[in-house]
Amino acid sequence: MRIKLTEQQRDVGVVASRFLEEKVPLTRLRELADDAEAGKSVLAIEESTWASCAALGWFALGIPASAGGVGCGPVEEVILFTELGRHLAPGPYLPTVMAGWVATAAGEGALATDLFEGRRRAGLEVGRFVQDGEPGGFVVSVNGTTLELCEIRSSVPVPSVDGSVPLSMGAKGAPLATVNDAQLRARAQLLASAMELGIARATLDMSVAYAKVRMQFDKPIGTFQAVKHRCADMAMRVHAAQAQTLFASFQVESRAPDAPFHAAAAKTIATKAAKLNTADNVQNHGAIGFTVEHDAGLFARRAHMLEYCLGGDTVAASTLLAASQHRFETLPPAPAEWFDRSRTA
Amino acid sequence: MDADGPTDLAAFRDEVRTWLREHDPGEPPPLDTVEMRDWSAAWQRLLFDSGWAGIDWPTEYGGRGLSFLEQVIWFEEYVQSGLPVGHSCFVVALAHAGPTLIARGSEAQKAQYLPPILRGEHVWCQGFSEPESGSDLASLRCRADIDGDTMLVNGQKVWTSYAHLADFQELLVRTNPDAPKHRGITWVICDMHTPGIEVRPIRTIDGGAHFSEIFYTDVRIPLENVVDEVDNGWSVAMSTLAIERGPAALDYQLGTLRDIDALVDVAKQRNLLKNEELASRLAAVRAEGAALRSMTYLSASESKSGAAPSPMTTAVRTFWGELQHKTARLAIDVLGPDSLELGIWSEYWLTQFSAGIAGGTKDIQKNIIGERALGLPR
Repeated sequence: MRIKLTEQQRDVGVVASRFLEEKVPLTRLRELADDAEAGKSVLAIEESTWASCAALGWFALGIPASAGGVGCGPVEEVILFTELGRHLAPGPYLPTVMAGWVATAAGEGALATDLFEGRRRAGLEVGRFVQDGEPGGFVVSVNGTTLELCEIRSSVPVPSVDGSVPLSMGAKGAPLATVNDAQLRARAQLLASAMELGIARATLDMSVAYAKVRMQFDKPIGTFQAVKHRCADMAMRVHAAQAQTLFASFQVESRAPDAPFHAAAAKTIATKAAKLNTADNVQNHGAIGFTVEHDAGLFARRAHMLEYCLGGDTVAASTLLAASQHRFETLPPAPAEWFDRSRTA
Repeated sequence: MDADGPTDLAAFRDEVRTWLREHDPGEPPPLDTVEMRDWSAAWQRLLFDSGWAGIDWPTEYGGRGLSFLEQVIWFEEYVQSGLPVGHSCFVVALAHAGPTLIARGSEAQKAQYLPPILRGEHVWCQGFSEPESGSDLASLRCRADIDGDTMLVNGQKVWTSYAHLADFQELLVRTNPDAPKHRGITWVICDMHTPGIEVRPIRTIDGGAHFSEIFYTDVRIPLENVVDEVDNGWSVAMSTLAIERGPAALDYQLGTLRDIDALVDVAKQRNLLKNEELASRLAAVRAEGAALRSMTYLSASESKSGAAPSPMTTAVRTFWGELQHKTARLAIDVLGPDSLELGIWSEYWLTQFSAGIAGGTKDIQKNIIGERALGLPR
């Protein structure tokens, strides 16, 4: 039942981190966002980078090999998406991966292959907007537990809070693929959680590094309890989000009955972690954190873009409150193994 | 998990569940603390005789010698069965005195003290805090003068749960007043029936009567009761605190999940989920309850019982305390004016004030997270 990690799978996080550091460091992210905002490109990505991601198998990571995928599962997807979040990777990774699941589940093999190989992409419907939508591209929408894949018919840009996540409004065509599966929605919530976890961790790291070197009153500001305790709160949020996201990923992997509950919990916890940690990170940096030159604002903006994804807290809350109780039937994985795998995250 | 693992664990879970159903005492333990001791002792003895005591303790000391996972399953099923959580005077013995001895005690100490703990024969209490040493525990002054093969203890301890029922105490004393404060402390087993010990009860905010202050006047303790070495007690105390703040509290932590479930039920019965603010807070505590369980598994997998303290177990403890505070406050808001009547939820609210204090205040715990987990300067 449990997949043994191969060396290659274990390296998912390491490879992703190295790749993203090289291709889209935050300095490059800013340029890409400027280009998109100036209308020089539709999305804040480079085609060559997207093609490399496809070659790395990122868009088919959790698809069975029999369906043309890499054959990993939600645990590896979570590892990848945590890195995408941590590096603020621009581009429609989440909806494109979701589109691949939907196309595969609906038996649309050719469509799925186009997505896996990076020839087509999908944006994500959030409220009345589409994030990362392109004319002629796809859009994924989630209503209840139904995931739907449509073509974008028309698209008008709307100013976005996060320039690296272009926003648009428009019209979509008839559904090309539809799947109603609570487990699949849970898996999508899980990947959004993973990105939020990555953001929460990155901002914790930034704050801690700064609190160790920024001197005031002849001391590093990290010696002051007001700052130290804020960093401790950030660390607790990261720890909670990481533990819950990992636990939920194991439940989703085995399609456990409580997987939707745990994925909803992960989304709630990770959204809060990203939202509060990015805000605390600005605060910890003082006035420099309020400047556009500082990266703190990039993280706050991206956390905001993820907050309402997949129905946000409202949808998660309905799942969490629908359950009559926490149930303990489903065993967690053996702790040692769990820890071993979490280390790669 | 390997191929036969899940089947074995599922069978173990079934066995636990069946046993608990067949042995449900049917009534909560008495509130009177002396009667409670008898009740809890009988229950612990039944657990021991049935093979459910010390599930992950070594077999040579009366345990089952199984893994922490089986212990987790026991706690989960115990909590899910609805049996009372958190009212046993044996909690110190089972949850941290015993595990501390397993980790740091001598063979003779383990052989002498561990089996009676599992049989429910000995109540233990903790002697760490003093009136002038709370968060700054290492400043403790309760003095022990070594005299031949004994030590003579004079001083005071406070905030000691179940001291009036206790047979033994995990006692921290100052054996070397000239050494730096962390280096002159000794962790010693104190027989609470020794002459010179006076226990005075302290009532708590929630009406509870299990708290005490303790006075020591020329109390003679044999040196063979020292755990690890004289003057090395700070390190032993850190083991105790890591255990106390870590996986030992798993049944209590899972108990909080059960409290949250009960509160969600109350809100549903009162048709309050249509109140968006309350619904959102209830969903948040449920999510945090799930995360608490996940964090506990993660930290438990890092440190086996009694292993080196992990600063992240402190994070779990602190997260849990905050969750208890939120849940208690939420209970009051769900009940509204009905919470004016003294009842389970208003008592719950009062009891949870201790959640940010017991085992180290949340303020000192956040210092520990900041300094030891994050490496921030002191």
